[in-house]
Amino acid sequence: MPRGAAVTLVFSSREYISNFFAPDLGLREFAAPGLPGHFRFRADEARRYELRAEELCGLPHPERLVGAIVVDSPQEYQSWVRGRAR
Amino acid sequence: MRKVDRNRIVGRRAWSILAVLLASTAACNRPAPASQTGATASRLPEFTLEDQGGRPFGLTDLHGVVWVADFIATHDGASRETTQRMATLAKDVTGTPSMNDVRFVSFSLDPDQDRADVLRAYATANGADGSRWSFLTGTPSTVRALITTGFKLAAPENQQFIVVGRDGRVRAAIDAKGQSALADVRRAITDALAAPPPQDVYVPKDLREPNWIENHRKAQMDAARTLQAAHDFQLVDRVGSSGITFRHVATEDLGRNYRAVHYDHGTAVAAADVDNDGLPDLYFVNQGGPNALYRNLGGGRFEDITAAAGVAVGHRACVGASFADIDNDGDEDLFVSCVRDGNLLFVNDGHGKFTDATMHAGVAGTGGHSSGAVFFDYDNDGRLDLFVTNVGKYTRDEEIANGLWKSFGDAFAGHLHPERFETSVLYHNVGDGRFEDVTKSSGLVHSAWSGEAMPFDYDGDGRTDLYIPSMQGHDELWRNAGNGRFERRSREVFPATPWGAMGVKAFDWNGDGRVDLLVTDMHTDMAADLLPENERRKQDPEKMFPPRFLATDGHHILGNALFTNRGAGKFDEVSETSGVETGWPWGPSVGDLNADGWPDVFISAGMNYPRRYKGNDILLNDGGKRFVPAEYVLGVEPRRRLIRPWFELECDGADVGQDICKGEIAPVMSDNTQTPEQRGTVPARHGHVTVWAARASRSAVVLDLDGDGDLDIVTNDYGDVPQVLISDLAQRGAINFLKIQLVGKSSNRDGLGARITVNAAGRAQVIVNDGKLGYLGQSAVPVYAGLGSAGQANSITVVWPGGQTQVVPGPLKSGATVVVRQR
Repeated sequence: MPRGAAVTLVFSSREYISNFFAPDLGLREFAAPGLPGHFRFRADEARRYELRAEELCGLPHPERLVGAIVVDSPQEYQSWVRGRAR
Repeated sequence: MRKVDRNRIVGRRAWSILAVLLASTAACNRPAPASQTGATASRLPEFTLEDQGGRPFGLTDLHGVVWVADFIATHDGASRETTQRMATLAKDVTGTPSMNDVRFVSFSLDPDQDRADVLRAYATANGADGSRWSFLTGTPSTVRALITTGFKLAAPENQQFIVVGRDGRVRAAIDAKGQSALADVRRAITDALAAPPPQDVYVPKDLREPNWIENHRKAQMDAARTLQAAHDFQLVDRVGSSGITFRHVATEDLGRNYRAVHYDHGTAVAAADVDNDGLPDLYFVNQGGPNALYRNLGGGRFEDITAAAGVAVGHRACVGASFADIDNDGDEDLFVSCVRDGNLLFVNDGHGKFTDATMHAGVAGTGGHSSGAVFFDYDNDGRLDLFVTNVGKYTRDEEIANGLWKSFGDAFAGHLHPERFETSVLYHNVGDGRFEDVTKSSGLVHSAWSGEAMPFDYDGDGRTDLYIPSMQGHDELWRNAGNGRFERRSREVFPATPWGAMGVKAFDWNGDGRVDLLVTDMHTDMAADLLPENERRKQDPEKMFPPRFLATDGHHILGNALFTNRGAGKFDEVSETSGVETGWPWGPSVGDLNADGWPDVFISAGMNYPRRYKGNDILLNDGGKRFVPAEYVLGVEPRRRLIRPWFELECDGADVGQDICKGEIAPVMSDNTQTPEQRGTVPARHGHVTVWAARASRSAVVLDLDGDGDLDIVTNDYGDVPQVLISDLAQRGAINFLKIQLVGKSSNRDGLGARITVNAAGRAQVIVNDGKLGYLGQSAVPVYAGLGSAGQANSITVVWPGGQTQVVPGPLKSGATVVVRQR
């Protein structure tokens, strides 16, 4: 993601209820079948933010690291996009 | 009330009767050879008996060890010789490291005589090491069933040693009188020990080591030193000698095919004297197994009369059980709520024989996910009406087995799916055993996710209103308008309620004569891991469910609520100052456990797979000022065994694809703090695997089960045997109490809804007769009133439904059962 940009991240769940967390961004939302979740945020610092998830009321996996939100400077972001396009 | 100890009648003859019964049963069973060795038979069935310490003891306690059984009667000479030989065997293995996994079990063939104290003395006399040698008793029927259908022994009194392997299968039956008996047993033990130990998986990983329990226990014991309320008594689980063999069977969706679903909310236990013999009987509700009605024989013994009484429910997964006299004929009828396959009404003939009157009554429902049901007379016409909660559709249209249906993976998002809502039903009793669905015409159209309801007169206008907790949303208060109509008064009276409310009970906790309301909140505790140190704290707002998931205005109490009635329909929420916060609570059972005149609370609590152990709670009422936790003080926690096998897997067979077999589930610690890196990976598992989980109760009733004057507790535990917690309060000294049996005339015969005031020692104790002895159930037993130091009550005032006031003048001596017949 480019630093400072308004971003909407949409996530979904096929069968169970999943809680998603981006702790350092203060985000917490759930998704369930037919009920996608949304993170709407703006990150002002270029860094890597952990993205975790757990099943609500389900098996007690620790909040599993399911990915990361990588925030770059606008220039680095554009460079990454161009690299992806190639 | 007539008291009958039927055991006294049969007990003297039990030894000979058991022998005769075993001999006659033997014709139906292939007897074990007199001397045979090698891995053989099918696995022994689960059993729960009582050991010489008076504690429950069962097959689970022998998991993974090799054990030697014998069958004795302490007064029998031949048995004594066998015991001496067993003692020789026990002595042999003591101190031998390779024999650490060997145990000895002596089953009494004369359980009526060989009670725990007799066995304890016998064990001591024979030098038995109690940690390795258990002496078991039960009832003649439970012992007989185990011997004939489990061990398949024709004549156990002929003195045999049975060697059982680590897997619970009989490996050898050896004539205990034979010259080579001891050598044969030693050889069989050695062979059995060569078998590999079982593969056990514990979920969570630290399930066996709940280090926090000792801290909780110590803190509670320390705090008890300043507790004013009487607490010098114990409640001891005597299920093993009760004859109650009921075992709740859980759905696979809460085991090997885990999905978080409302089946987990459990099933009821309810009490009533079904045969009018003066003793309270017990009805247990099941999911994957049969419901059961146990007749109270007196002396702490019960017998299963389900089939004879006609209250079996076939392949239905049921939830609630409500006893009430629906036809005012002087006996207790029974309503059973079930999941999808229709509800049932059984009408009693007065002698404990029931007839299925569901269709005649018109209360089968429409195949919803029914839960708790309550009888109350909302229009004060003298006939009990019925409110049946329907939770909402939490299962798919795919039946697994035995009335159990496959669950939605997102069942707990059901409140966000209007198409899954199910409306609860209000039935008006129109007489002649018939009911009419008046849900729409009454205006009481309740479609929230609710599994329980509490009738009570919140505004003191003489009409019974209804508080309905919602397990996923706001609770609702329905005011009885008096014209057959109900009006929603929820937010006006209770601006904030628990979001995840499960159980509820109305009672006057602070002695001001007004009826208060305790609501227990399970689901808010599910928003984040419930750490042991947080059990008595409200949920952290930062960790609460996201607002979009709450789907409410967000005004919630983040845990249990205690609404203190200030009169004129006004309530203050005082849970923080009164000490009623508890962890993972299902529902409350209220009763004066220490007979001091102040109602105490037992809260059935805890989860099973895949969560840590969390026991039940007892809150002692400290003179109407606060509640003080006392489950450790009173011996209810920790129970002797905290965990049990939850399900089994054949990882090289049918379960090869199961996550635990594949190694994809590495159990986490209960505090859930390990990172994936710390957890590491788990290799795929092979062979037979036993997965263990925490034990936990669901529902309970508080009543004087054994007729000794103090209150006992019976639970219905999920996927497990019940607990029959017998109080010794009355045995430790004189206590003062009254039992009050109402007999309505123009009001309903049970007197449900009547307000009783007991005047004693300058206090007026108010108790409403509502039959709510616990979560999911409704019972019909006399109202119990502890009198504290008062040896008598000065008077009792009864305000019957409809407002008629009747005074029973005193003195009313402690210990009496006062029958109040409506004039």
